[in-house]
Amino acid sequence: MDIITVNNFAKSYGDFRAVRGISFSVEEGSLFAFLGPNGAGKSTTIEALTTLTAFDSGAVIINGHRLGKEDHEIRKSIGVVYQQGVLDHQLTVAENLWIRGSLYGFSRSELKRRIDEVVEITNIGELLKKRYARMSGGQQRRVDIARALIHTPKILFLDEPSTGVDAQTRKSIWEMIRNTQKEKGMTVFLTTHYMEEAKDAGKIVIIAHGEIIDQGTPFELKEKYTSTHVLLYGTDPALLDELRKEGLEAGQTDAYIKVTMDKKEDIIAFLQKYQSRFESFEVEMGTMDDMFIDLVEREEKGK
Amino acid sequence: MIRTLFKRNLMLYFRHPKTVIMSFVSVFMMLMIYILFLGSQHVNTIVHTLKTYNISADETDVSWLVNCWVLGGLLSIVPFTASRAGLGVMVTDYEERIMRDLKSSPLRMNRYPIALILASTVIGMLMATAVFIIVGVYIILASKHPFPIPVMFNVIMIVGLHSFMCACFMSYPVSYMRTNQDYSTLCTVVDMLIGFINCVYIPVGVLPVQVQNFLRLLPFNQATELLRSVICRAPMSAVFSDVAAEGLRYYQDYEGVITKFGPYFVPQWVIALHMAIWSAIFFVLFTKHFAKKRDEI
Repeated sequence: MDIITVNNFAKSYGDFRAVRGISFSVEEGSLFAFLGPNGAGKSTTIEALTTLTAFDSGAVIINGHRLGKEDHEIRKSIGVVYQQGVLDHQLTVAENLWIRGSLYGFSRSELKRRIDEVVEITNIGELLKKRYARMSGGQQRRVDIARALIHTPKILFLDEPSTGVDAQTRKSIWEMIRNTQKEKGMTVFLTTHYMEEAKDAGKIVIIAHGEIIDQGTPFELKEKYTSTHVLLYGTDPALLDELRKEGLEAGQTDAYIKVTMDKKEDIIAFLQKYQSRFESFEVEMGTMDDMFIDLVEREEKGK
Repeated sequence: MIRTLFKRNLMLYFRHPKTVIMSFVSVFMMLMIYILFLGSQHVNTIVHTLKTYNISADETDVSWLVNCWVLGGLLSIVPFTASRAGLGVMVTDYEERIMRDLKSSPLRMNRYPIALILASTVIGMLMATAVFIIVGVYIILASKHPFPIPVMFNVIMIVGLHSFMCACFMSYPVSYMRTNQDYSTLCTVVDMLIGFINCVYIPVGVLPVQVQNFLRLLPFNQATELLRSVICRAPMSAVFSDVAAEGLRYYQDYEGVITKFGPYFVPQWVIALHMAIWSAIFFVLFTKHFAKKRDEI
């Protein structure tokens, strides 16, 4: 069942058409990735979906409520983690959580229970008395997530959540998000510049110049836009020329010969045929970065 | 939700020591200037003027009167500086993109301006009350005359209404500010002008008649005159006990202790109504402008 459906969504700023009639849907409980280069229209779309800005045309249904008509209801069911911290810098973590949590109309005891829960999930117990301004970027991000989870949203929007945090923090943030998602059946709507973060998504939509240029599962997109490479180690000196003569796309580094192949059957047949000519091998799949770069470059060339 | 935002705004103001101190700085600078230089000059002028009419005035009483006059002026500017400092929360909410979080939560955004104005009014009142207590104690120690309870009550009421008016009035220009730098520039201009508009440093009678008439049309100046008329009542009676009613009227008019427009004296209830109308106008302008900026995040 879809929790978000977007039909012909468009938004312009004066003469500039930032988003040009895009349509997509997000399945309930899934991790959905919305990707695109800078200036593609991602932020414009997210700002509208999170009820921050109005849009020009199209129909958007979020958790059964029509965007633009039932925004108040939508706001109750979404949580947003922004790129930049949006809590009060001069207040402590506990004060920030109390104040922002109070905006959802919970009773005092219910709010306390919810704060205790998100504090445990995000492991920020020791930070409660600390002022938000005096925390590291990683700590602030954990508090931001706690704030976004306080009302147990059905949809969690993550707008480049890993920007400015180190790799270790990024990993712990993702563990936290994935665990909460599984436990609560929450839908996660992600935009990110770290393509590897999108590899676990159930569906990826890629946008460029305000239009969707492709969508699918990470596997489908990688298959479509990346090649698989077979790396051969310890080869005999004549092998490279031989492979090229056979019309294979092959190159060499000091360590290995790299052969580009796409189909699984071709790879198996190739390895069987040349198994006596190399000492070991490795099959290298295309990465999410490769997929994204290739797709966006194709789009740029097409324009 | 208004209560939550109201509480938040107060916490943010008082959590920022620099903002609190800055709300007081101009007031205490002005007070020091008066105690060190202008005060004695002002006292001498009154004593000598009375002497020319063969009336000898007790210098301690005149000093008491001038101190009360200064206090009235101070109490008219504190709600301005303090309440506009309270409004700075809105600028920070836009600049640091905190507004995004508020707008994406189920907060009815028409509550935001109400909470902001209420918090700024309370900040203005609290800071003005603090100045009233501090300077009041100095006056009591110097003159040995305590403030009667009705005067204190009256002052607090006027300060409350004045703080509300200042918060409403300043909220409109502040709602156009998007960065704290712009906001600081606005504050500098306002702080510079308000001392002159409220005739805090010099009596209104010193100014040309047209300027006097213009300033006396403004509710800020009227608030000053209202405060001075209440605070200076007892010392005026002491200093001008031997002076004819016209003489007292002249002093009140010249020093801005009574509100006069042209030949007409304006009753206190008219001033209060005028302040309430200005508050309402600027509150509506502010809320309309705030609502119009729906897409600004």
